[in-house]
Amino acid sequence: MLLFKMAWRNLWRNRRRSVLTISAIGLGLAILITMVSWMEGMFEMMIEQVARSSMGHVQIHHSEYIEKRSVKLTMPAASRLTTMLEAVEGIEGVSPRLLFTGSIRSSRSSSIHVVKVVAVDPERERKMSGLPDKVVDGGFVVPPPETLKPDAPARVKNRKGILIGAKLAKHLKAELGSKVRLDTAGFKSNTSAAAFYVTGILRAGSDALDKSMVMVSLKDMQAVTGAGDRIHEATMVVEDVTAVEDVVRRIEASITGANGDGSLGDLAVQPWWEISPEIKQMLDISDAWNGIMYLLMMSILSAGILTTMFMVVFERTREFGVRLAVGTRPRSLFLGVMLEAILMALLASLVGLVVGAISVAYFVHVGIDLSSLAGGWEFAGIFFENVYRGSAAPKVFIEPTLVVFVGTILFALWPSMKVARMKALDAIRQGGVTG
Amino acid sequence: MSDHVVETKGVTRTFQMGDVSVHALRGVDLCIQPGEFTAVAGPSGSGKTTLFNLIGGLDEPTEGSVFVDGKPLEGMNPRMRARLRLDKIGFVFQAYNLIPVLTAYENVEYPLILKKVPGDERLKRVEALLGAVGLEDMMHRRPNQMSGGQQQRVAIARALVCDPVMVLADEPTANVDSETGQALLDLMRRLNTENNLTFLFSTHDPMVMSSARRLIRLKDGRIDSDVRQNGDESGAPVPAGA
Repeated sequence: MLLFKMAWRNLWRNRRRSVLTISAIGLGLAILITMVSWMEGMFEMMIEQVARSSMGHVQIHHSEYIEKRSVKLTMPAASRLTTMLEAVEGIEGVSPRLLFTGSIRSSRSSSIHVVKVVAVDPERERKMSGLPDKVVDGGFVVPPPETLKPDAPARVKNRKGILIGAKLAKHLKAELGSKVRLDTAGFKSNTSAAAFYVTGILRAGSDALDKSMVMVSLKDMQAVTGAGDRIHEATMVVEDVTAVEDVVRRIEASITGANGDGSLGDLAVQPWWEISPEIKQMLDISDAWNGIMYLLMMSILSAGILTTMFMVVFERTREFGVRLAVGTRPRSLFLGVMLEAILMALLASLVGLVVGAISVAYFVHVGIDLSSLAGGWEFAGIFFENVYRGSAAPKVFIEPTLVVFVGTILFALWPSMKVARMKALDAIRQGGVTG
Repeated sequence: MSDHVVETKGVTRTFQMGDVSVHALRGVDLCIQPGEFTAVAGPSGSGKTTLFNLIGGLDEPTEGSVFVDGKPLEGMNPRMRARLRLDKIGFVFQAYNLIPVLTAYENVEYPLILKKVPGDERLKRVEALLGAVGLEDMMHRRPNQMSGGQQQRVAIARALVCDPVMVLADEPTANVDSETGQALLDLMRRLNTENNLTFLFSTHDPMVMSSARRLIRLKDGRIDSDVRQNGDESGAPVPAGA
């Protein structure tokens, strides 16, 4: 108790210096918290965007599909597989897909455009994809409205809807209701072709989506291409992004259990970082960047702490000598100086947490809109928003605070050990005792 | 238990200052008996402080031995010496050297806490001692709120609080005016008489020298004279090992 009392009072002995040191460390911590919040916010946004793009968190394909990208490498029994996956714990949504590279043209334009054709189950896709929110005209993979009329003739009822990007629509001079022709590879014959009617126009801000992708109904495409119940890909979004590995293990276990007869085909389950290693690499680099920030903070911190604590030692050398002379153990002096540093670290952490929390709250709720500078950006085929928001995850506060707190204590070890090694007589002499 | 509170046998202390050897003490033999009120006088550089540092276990002799309360300091590690100082020796420094962040009460209480004396016992002893040195009204003042004389009285109370066998006072009146110095001397003399507590001063203050019952003069690191005065009946001088 006496040690604590002395440490507390000693801390305020040079009030201005202590306030300055505590403020400097606290401010440094607040900046660190803000930067980590910023970086984590970006990670979260990227992972979320990855999930809400066509990629999802986990994908299943034929085991050779990713390598060869052959249309023929499909997974049979898509309905059974989808139902089975939806039952796996931790999966929020499953989207079965057929994927083709095709060409599209309209009667209003002579140009032919190569597009990526994604055939989806609209209801399932809607649950896990952010793309429905980007539809600016019409609906998300919906049938043409005239097909819904009860008295529509059979040829009208059979019409198929297509969602195209705004830029593609411009090139094709197409609008809602326009007829387009889509040519793709087929299963029964080498090619398949069908007419579709534009029922939705998408504006995502990315060329990959706005210019080079179309979405159609899985059921329609299975019929057009003769795919039957086959799909190329099952994309899944998980409930907890930190538990992707666990979910992958559960999926693999389920497939192994259900695929004893091989009816589900030769499947490969891949988490998002295997599908898009570029993004994973970028996140790893960002993690390393966090480490560099911590190191920088530690270096700045070391200067502040060491200067302050060595000043303390220098100013109180004689006092330490006298305390040793009256019988104080060196360990007690060591603990006293350490306790002073711990109190300083606690106060600085408190200041840093309060200021950091205010700053993080701003970035979480308001964010920074960089859209005036650029209209979003694309990386590894995924479109990223331009409104950046910080993260308020516990890690954002815990890691930097621990770094600063532990750093302060570690840096105080050196001056504290110097005090503990003092010899009473030398210390008193340095303090200027005569005789 | 030994008859002597302090005994030095052939104590020599040499400091190496670059290529030059400085002989601060040259074979000092000294015995201090319980209840003595002894002043060690001499000009600057005569070895007073060095002798005190050796007796207090703050320094080690180049040659010879020092015994405190019959125990040889030779071979004691810093921790054992710290314990010896806590148990046996009270220090009074020229510049008071109170702990600035503690009140008068806490400064006096400090050695008792180091000795792990229970709280109620500490309260009793500290209050009694601060009363004895006339500072019962200033217990909760910090050193910077007290005069030099008052601080030195706190330092004396701190030196006495662990019931030491001896108080080592290094020029205790050097930083106070003569009136305060006299009052401090009277206080220490009273404590010496009433409690048979041994006081050993280093000084070049004539007032302290004249108040002492034994006056040891050091010159060039040797005992130049050792006389009993002021009615001391124990005989003079006392050779080492007596």
